[in-house]
Amino acid sequence: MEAVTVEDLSFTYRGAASRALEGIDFSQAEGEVLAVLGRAGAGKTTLVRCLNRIIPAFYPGELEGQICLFGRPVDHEGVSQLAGQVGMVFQDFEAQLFSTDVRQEMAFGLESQGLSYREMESRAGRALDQVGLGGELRRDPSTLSGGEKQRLAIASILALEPRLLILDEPTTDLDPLGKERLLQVIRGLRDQGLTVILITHESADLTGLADRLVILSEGRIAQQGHVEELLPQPASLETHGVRPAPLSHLLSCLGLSFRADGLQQVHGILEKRGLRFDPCRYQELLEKGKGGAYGSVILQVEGLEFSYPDGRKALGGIDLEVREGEFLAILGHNGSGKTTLAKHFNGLLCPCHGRVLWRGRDARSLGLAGLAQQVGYVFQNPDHQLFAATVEEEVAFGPRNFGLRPPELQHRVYEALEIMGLRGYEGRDPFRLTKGERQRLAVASVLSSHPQVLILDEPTTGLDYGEQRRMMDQLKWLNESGHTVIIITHSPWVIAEYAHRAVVMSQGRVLADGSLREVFDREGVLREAGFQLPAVTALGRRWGFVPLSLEEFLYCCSPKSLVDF
Amino acid sequence: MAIYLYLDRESPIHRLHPVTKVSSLVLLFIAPMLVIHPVVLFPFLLFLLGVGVTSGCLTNLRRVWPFMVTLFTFTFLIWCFFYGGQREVFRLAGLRITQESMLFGLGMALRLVLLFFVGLVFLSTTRIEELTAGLQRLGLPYIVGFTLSLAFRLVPVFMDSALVIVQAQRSRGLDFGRGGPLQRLRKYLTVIIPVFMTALRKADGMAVALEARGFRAGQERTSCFRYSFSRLDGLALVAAVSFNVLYLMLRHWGMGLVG
Repeated sequence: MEAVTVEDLSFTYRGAASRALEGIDFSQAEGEVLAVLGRAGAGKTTLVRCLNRIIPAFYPGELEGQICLFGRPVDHEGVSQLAGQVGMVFQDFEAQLFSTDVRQEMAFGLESQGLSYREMESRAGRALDQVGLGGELRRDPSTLSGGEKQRLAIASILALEPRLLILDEPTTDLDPLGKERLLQVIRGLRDQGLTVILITHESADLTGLADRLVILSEGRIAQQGHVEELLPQPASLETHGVRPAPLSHLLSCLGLSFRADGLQQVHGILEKRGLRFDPCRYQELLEKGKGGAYGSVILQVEGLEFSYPDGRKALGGIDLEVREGEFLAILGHNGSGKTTLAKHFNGLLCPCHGRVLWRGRDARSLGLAGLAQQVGYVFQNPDHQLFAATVEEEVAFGPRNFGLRPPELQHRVYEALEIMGLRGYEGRDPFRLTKGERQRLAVASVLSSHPQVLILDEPTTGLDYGEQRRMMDQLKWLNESGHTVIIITHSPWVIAEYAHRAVVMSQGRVLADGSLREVFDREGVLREAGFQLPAVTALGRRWGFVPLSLEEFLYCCSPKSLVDF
Repeated sequence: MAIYLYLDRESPIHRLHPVTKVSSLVLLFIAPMLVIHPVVLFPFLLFLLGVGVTSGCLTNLRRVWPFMVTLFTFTFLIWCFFYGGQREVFRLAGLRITQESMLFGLGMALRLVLLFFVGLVFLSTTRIEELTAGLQRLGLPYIVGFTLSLAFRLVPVFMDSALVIVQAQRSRGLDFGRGGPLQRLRKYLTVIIPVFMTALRKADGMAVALEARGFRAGQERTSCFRYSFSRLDGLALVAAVSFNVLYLMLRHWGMGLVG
């Protein structure tokens, strides 16, 4: 039976000039996993919210077309009535948990359905087991990690025993471990026959998970079809704001177009096809990489230790040097001390032991105001700093605090907006910008103070692939024009393609510190830090070299030079 | 961040029925208001200490003792000086300290500390959900109780984001310590606005998530708590009522007061 049939669905938000969805037609069989892809603003969330009637119940507008779930039209159902049939999990796990312990969280939906105590108990237990949280009944959700919170949100939905589970970008805010664990859970649910709709930006997550894809673009279906058919089309995925799955992308670059699930399999195929590694070419690559000489030491920490007021030790003895002009990535799983370390760089935190030196001077003598001007810090969530009524005011805030006055102030503002591609936005309201624009505004508002070092905490989280590329290209440009850039990120490909050097942290210590290739060659360390190598890098290591991008891989491996450098 | 006092323990006090807890709270708030003589209030203190030990919540005293000591000392001193009374003990800068004023001061200080202590024991042994469950059994509508407990859950979430926002603005050179009161107030706007905006975004998401879990499905709600009254509840209520009866009788006979 068809689980979902959507016929000629269109929706216009009230007051909007154009349609958010237009002429959507698709169907999904029971037990199938359907992935919905597309850039930010393509209509993915709007589409799934129509399925359980959140649209138009919460977001009024004009809805046309027909939606049937399991053979029944949903036109006259309310969101809460559908809750037993359609379960929905959202990106923001904080906003989905309402209780002070896991047990009550699980019971919340079941209580509204009027289930008996015994029934609640057995359903909650079963659902928690499904997501690997069995035995955590008494935990306070606020003490769970992000990944665990998200799995708890899923369990609380599963307990309602929906026939269709909709996951709206559930992995976006998770670290690699949390994400992998969550994908495992979803695979488990699929194997148990649950019908799932998954919204994501990362097509790499979909191999071995999704059956079919729907790619949206500007409210219309750009493409739909089977995973085997669509995933190996990197070009078309990229035009729709989706990062191609690296291995499929690689195979298609080599002219081999078929489905390959894992590293092992791809390795086998390439071996069989006689792909050879060319050490001379690799040597060439390494030589070229040496060109970039950095300036003097700009930031230095010595024997840095830090404990939070409640006694938790966050950093235990860190020594690190950052040179002018470096592009440094700090990686490690959540709670490893990355952010705590970075906050010492601009004076937000002061070491309990050890020192932070700015150009050889003790940072303490500069104070927060002095140091913050030299070391700009962009926080993870742009909404945690935007407050002004206009974009221009927002960007002028920093330099004005540091004592700058017009006309120099004006000049700085325009310059920062120009760099971040926000010229023409001066009079706009920051809160009405898209997430990608808000993120760029947050960077511009730090950039306008002319810091020599720029620290960014997760600059690409929550952005679609196109926006991520754009953000990182802008950072690369800044780095090339003399800024020292430090990023904290979980995203393997961002590190591989943009950073020069990586610092790996775990439990408040530095596990490894060196050039990307050095660090990426230390498998044990990376595993301990919960970091997954980019697929192409991992593949290259099987031939004994460390490529940082697809282009590098092809350059070193292909018998013919496929890519011009 | 730990801002709540609740301690997750297995104790007879924790296991009491929410209705018992809420009713006892009210009764034990009334009892020390009935009398003021420190000697009469002393057994009440012993009783509370006993409850505190049984429930294992005396560890929370470590978090609040400076406040309790300050409360006690100031109340005692102020009443000592200003109560008046007949039997003078000594004079200090024109103020008479009498036996009555000292007794009354001691009683008043003890009373306030006791009230505070009652609240502490209650908060240490009662989850927010139990509080609302108790109030609901006593007639509070579900939606009000739910809103109340959700608000409590969100306090730490918003506190965390406020702390991050303060750091973000300080990194952009904002110095909260400088300037006159009006200027400082304006500086806090740069924190308050983002806190509200993130709260609003969050609230929007929450409303949708609530509905998606069938919040208003229309059925009669059941509860995941299976509370039953036990002999312990009877005992607790008898104890709470007894103090009220005892103190009322003392009052009636003209005892338990000062002067």
